[in-house]
Amino acid sequence: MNLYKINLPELMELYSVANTPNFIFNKFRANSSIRALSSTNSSDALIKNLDEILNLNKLQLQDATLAYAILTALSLNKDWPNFRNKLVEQPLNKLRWAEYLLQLSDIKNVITTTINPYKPQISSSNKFKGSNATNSKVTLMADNKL
Amino acid sequence: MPNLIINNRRTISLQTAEGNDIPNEQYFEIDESEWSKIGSFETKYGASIVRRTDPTGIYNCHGLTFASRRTSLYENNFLTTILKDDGYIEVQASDALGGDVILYFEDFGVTHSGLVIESTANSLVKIPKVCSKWGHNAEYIHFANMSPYGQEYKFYRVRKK
Repeated sequence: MNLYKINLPELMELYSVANTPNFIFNKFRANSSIRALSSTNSSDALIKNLDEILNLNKLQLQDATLAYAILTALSLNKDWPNFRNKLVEQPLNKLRWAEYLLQLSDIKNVITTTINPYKPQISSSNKFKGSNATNSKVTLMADNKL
Repeated sequence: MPNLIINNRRTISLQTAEGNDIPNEQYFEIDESEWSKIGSFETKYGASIVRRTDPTGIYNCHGLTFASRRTSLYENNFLTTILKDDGYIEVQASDALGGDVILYFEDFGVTHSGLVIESTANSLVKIPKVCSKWGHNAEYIHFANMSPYGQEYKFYRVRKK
């Protein structure tokens, strides 16, 4: 795998302060080195490398960072839906937020896929909704007036 | 009866003041690398930060701020629910007092939260001091503008009628 483009120090710094799955998801997807990783490697190669990392006995900071980077790169590839199921075979429970990232990637890929007006759209706001939540469609943004 | 711990994870019952459920997760494992992160934070921020706990996976920043350090909250949508149901209103930085909440923002929404522990009153530095939890790591006491979470933040206070 072509890892030379990965900016590991920058990604490790982001991962070090990540406090939610959304944080990693948004920061890593916006990272140019992860986009380069995605565009220069096949999904097969990415999964092979992810497999090697996840089979390590203990994941150090840079191992975990790299694993999340590869997961994110995979989700950016056009063939994500085909490879999504292969990830189930990986020991993803070693990564605390892997499952959340997969779900966020599913949502993102559904939203960015061309919408067929004859099929109902999937609402991203329903994915993690608790049973009694009432206003989950409201999002907190910097300019949001509460 | 407590929920089962599965894959080092567990959820607890958590609701807003209006009785809306808030999804959450406790995580009972700490990566060894968390200890090395402490060193890098201290190198980067020096004496401007004070670490007040050891690393823990039980709660994250939002769990510290809104769930009394009992669990982790992940979803921005539910932060909105909490702010609305619990009656938070925005206050200016110059009016922020100990006990108020600070939220940090980026273009994709809230990125971090913490609790104000010291106002700007009687201080030459006109920036409130806050306590917040950084990543999977520890709690740190720091000025609002001295953290890895940027310079865009707002303060909130509960105003119950």
